[in-house]
Amino acid sequence: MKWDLKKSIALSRALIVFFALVLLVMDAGEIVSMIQGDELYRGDMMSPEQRRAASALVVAGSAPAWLALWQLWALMGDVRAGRVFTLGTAKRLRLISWCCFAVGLLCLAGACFLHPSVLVVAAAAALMGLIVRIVKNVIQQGSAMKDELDLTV
Amino acid sequence: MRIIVDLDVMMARRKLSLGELARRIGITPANLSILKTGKAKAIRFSTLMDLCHELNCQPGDILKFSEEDADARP
Repeated sequence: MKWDLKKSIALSRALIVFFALVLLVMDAGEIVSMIQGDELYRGDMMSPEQRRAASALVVAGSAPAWLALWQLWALMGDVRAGRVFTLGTAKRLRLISWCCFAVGLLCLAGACFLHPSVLVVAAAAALMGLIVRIVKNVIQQGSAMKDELDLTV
Repeated sequence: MRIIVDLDVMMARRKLSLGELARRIGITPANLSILKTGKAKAIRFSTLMDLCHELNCQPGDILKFSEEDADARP
């Protein structure tokens, strides 16, 4: 099978849908667990208060994740339409990076009040935010260069 | 500070329309319009050479330096 840009974009979009479904299942599970007080999958590691706090953390953290996924979906639409080096793309990437930092902060709070192992997720989210932010800076510079190139006669 | 592209005088002297000049130098009228209205960020030496050739002038006849800020133009 010959691999091309169109198929690559389709794969990226499929992965976005996959992660959206995973997030949906996670959210639904946590909401049900918060309402019903389901204690099955966390065993006895946490107290009921900690379990509720962990569920609230997952649900709160999913808000920036949904926003980031939506921005990624729109970004892939822009890439498919050939609008790559634009200020709009940089804006979307900036928003995605802030979403990652927001998740990082929430997980940091989780690490402080719930379990230290959540710190790994916080660090991963913050690192992801940093990477996306640097890509945003590159795209921003590329946008300025493209503008100049487009207006060179 | 900015560089002003002043094509109007030379085009009027040579009695050339925008479309005709664009055709002669091999660029699109839209691109020549960008140049003429001062929206261009850069000009290639080849385009400048073709313009000078068709308008029978020197680069200094169509390019002017201004101390005025680029953002100040209407």
